[in-house]
Amino acid sequence: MGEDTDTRKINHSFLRDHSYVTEADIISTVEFNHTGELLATGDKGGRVVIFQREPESKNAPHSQGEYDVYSTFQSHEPEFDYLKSLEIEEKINKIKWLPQQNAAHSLLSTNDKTIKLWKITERDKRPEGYNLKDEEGKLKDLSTVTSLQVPVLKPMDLMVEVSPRRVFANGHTYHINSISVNSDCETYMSADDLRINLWHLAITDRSFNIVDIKPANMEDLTEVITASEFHPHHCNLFVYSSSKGSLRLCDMRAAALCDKHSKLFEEPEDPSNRSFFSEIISSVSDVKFSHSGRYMLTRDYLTVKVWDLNMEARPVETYQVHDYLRSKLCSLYENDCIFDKFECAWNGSDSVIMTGAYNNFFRMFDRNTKRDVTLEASRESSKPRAVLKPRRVCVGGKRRRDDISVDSLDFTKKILHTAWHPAENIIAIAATNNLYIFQDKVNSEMH
Amino acid sequence: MTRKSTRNSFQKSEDTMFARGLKRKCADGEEDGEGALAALRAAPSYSLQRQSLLDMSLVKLQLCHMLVEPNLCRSVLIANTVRQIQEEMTQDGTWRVTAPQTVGRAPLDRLVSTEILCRSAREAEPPGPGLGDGHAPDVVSELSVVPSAPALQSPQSSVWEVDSPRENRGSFPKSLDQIFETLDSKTPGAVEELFSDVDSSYYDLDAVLTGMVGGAKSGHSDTLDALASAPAPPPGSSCKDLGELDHVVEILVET
Repeated sequence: MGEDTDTRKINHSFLRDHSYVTEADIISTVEFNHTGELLATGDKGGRVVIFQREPESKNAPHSQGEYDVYSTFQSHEPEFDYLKSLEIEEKINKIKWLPQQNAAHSLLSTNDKTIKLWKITERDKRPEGYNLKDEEGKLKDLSTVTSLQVPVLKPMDLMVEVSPRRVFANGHTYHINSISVNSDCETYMSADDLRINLWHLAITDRSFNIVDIKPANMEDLTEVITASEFHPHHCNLFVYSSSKGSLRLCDMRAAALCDKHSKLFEEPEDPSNRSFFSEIISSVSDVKFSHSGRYMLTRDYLTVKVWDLNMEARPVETYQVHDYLRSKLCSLYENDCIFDKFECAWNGSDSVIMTGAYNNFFRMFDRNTKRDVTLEASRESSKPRAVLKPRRVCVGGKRRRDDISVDSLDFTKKILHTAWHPAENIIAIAATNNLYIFQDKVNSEMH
Repeated sequence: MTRKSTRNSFQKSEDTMFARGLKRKCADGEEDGEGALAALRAAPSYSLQRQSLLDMSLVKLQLCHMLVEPNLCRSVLIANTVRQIQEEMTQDGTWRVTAPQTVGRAPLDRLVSTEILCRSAREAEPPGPGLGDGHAPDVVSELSVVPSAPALQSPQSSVWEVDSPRENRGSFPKSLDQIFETLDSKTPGAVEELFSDVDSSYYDLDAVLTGMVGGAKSGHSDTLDALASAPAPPPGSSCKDLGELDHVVEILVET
């Protein structure tokens, strides 16, 4: 696949220091807005950085719609919960854009406990020629004013202003893992480990609990909610995934409390693959509806699966992300990597799916041709404007020259967060504290 | 699959479920890539592997409570793994009940383990009315023993190095080795005893919060009473073990 890399520009403006990884700079979420013009990232330090795509211009043929920093702001600060004597991390878990309804852009950002609605506005004009104030804003001496003038709007340097419009606090006892804006553009939901709440975007002091899987006796707790999302078209439908690998589709019209699912999607366990780690690797780390609304994409530790909403018995497609890790599960359990939560993404036409892996690798699967590719996001292996070279992990047997062996994979370099432009072949990959944006120069098929 | 002898950050080329420090045995070398334990059942080391996985899991759950923000999903998954192992061991008849006795155990081991729990209990203790009244003295008495044992210095300090959840996952925390060694030789029943000192009310913070919101001490003591009268384990020795494990798991899973 021919791709352009745009790394140098992005990294230079995003990283504070090139030589070491600052904990606070680790990117924790990536999200394109609905047109793809804006790309938001959240990090562990509670900051949000928004990139804007430059319009393509004939004057600068090289900057074909590259992304530059548009705005940076501190979304969440660290807090302390005095009742529990626990620190509340400022890490941004998720960002979701609201559909644009006027000149301003809005997004929701959340940490473990609190969701905030931010409004992003541009100011590129300012009024000049006031009667009572002078250019610096000081009051004029009225005796010097001899005639009246109408203030005129003059252009100024673009200023991007960000302000918090709503703070949705105290809705969750447990850690928020997902937020999802409803297609009605009025409500959204937030999910933590045991509960899902429905909010109205304009009301901050009240939320409705729509799912509660907390058992009466915490002793009996064996399953938690791992992700959830609203259906892209049907405002009454949403799905949530669990740590046991099941998906539940719920209809809000059925009852106020959607504890009973409308549909349960679960794949029966393969008895030949059974081990003590079977449940852990079946835990779904991310669920995404396709743009069409017909399918769902789930990611568990070793695979990505496509589910048809009309079939609950099993997924319609299963893709192996890194099956060579299946024999390493105990070691991955020991070093906690088995609990890593990878995200997944659809492309705009729902024909290609993407997910991250270790060693800064990410994988793409073409659903039509059934071909897949492994690519690497790293400065060492890709210069700007170079074409990404497909990578291969060898598991013994014949080894080609540029292959990586399973044992030399770097498990600290994990690509957990990826995003795909809603319409074009542009992808955003978060590799620890670096953001990579890859563009497809030519509309070529995947090889 | 050829076995590689070079050690790397991944520790093993083939995953045989051995924890560190345990000798490899030849018999288990035929494991294929699947990792299915069924294939290993015939191997003599299977029960050893299972035991070490159980120990590792229990240590992980202990560490959960040492973290600033315990991850509930991770705790639940580990606890489920522990349950699975314990169920299988019960079926095999290898799950032994150990009477709570301290005679055969080195005081060093006991204090280190309790130290971990004491620290997490202290962290989880909210500054609420009367919470620690009935129970703090036990914890404090355990704590007071520690400084007088100079041999504890190294494990103690290394245990407390693990204080941040945001650690580099490439390398295994050093302190885990320390903790792991203390648990290495224990029988499953003895491990349960580690948690018997800690009252579950420390961890049932939801109940605490509910009690507080509901209104001062009356609500709070109701909650503690409810916890004190936890359901008795069902009759039968193997079921009793399961009941005890549930109690353990309840402590470990609650945030």
